Amino acid sequence: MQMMEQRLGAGLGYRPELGREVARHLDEIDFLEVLTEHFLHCGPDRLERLLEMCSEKHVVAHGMQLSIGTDMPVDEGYLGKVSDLVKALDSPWFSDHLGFCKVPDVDVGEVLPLCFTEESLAVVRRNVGQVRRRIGAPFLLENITYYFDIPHGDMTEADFLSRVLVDTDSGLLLDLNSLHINALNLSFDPYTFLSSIPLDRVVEVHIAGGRQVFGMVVDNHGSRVHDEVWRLLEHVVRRTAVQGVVLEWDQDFPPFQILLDHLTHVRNILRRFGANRYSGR
Amino acid sequence: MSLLEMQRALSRLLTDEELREIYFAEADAALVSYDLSPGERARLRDLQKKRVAIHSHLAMHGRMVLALRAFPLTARVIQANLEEITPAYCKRHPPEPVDGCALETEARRLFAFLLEEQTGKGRWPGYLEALLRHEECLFRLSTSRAAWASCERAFTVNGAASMTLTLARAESLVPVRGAHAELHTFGCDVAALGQALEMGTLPRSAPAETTRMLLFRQRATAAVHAMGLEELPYRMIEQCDGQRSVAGVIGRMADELSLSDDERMALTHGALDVFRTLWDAGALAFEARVAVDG
Repeated sequence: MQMMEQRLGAGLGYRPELGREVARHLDEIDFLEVLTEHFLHCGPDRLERLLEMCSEKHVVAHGMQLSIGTDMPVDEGYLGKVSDLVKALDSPWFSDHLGFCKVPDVDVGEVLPLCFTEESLAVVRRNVGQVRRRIGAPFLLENITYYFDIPHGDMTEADFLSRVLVDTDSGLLLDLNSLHINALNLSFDPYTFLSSIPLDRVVEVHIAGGRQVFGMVVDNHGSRVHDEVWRLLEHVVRRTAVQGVVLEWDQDFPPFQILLDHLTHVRNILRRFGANRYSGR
Repeated sequence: MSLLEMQRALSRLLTDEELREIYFAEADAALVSYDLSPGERARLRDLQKKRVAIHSHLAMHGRMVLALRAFPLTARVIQANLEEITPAYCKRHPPEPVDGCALETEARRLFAFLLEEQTGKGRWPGYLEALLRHEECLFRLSTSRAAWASCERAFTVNGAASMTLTLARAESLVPVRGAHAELHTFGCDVAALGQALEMGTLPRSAPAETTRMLLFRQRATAAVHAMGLEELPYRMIEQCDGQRSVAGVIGRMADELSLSDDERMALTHGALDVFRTLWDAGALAFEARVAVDG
């Protein structure tokens, strides 16, 4: 995995609803992560405005629609658009989710889990190869939140994820809120999970908040980051050189200062537990 | 038999309520139309049914949350009915894949659905239709590629003309209303209604009031500007069909109103002021070309 060693620090998932506040407080945000889908289908002026605003900042591209685990090739037209966007952003890497969100007749609208089987592994390997041939930037896969296991797999999620990362030579976008929520809902130990995956492949980390629904915790990106997610972040930062941590907040937006406080907390963790790897602000 | 076939079945289970009910009653019956190996069939049959139900519910509401991002004020009006209408929405508009932006797709589907619901059942206050149409227009003009292209074109064309709109030029300039500018008439004051909703008030009704607007995308910000219009300028902009010149539009208005020469002159001066405002704002493109003023 050829990665430039870049310490981006504490970043924010850019959402149009936050645009005005982001512009006002840009010097308190180390970098931004944008959802590729927000820029692929509109006029190019949206991207131009973002680049103008962030001329001094790194902007990282994060995808939602690759559906890397669907047992068919990735749409080349879509990949071409993503490739152009990643280049325009000069994004240090490009990421999407390790799961599937669509098949030819249904667009589920959210990422579903894969069967943890050799067959799925072969599909992901093939599709990641296609992505990497088309997109120049390093590619990261993100672990997802899911609410049910697909039974009778050949391996655990941790084993599957590890095999995917090593076989495809991809980086990991470690979503700690997904890990926390899956651990609660599916009853496993998140620290055992972390000790079972190649943490040296972690490039970026996502943090977010969830909420209780139907006796489960749901990953809605609409509340404060849970204490346990902060502890998981400390655990990871102690063990590997995370290049950037992104706060995702998609709904029920609080006063912007709360988001900035989260970023400050991230920076403190990076400084305190990151073995002087982070100079930051 | 393939992984794709299994993924198709799982996707359908999570998004098709009728299939899910069959699955909960007898899993194999729901899967009969899918070409699955015994192992694939077992994986789907042995899913945790309760979790599948919860995930389906979340997926359904996820679609609604996404679509409502296009209609933030409408969302406040229909909030209390979301549990009730979301399954009906998802049933009437299955999540078939389309090329393009997921938000725009869901917004288009929800707009059609809410209009049908309001027309058919009068579920919400009477102003909902005006509010929804207004928000749909704001969303579309600020996000669509066609509106962006039209806005850029107006900027280029008006810049190229590089002189002020005078009476002498009125016959050689053709005002064009592109995809970035739309005329709308609403049955109530949508601006006042929007302010009330943003302040957290949920009015039971809004006074009936014909409100004419030119909504157009602004180049610098992509925000949509709403220009309130009296009837005369509204009708004048309606006449801008991309064929008639400025003079042709004004002449047609004067003919329709059977104006005297003095009145015609007053109309011309007033109309030129309106056209200059639209030029400066980039709401219309003024093309220097031969007009068809018949």
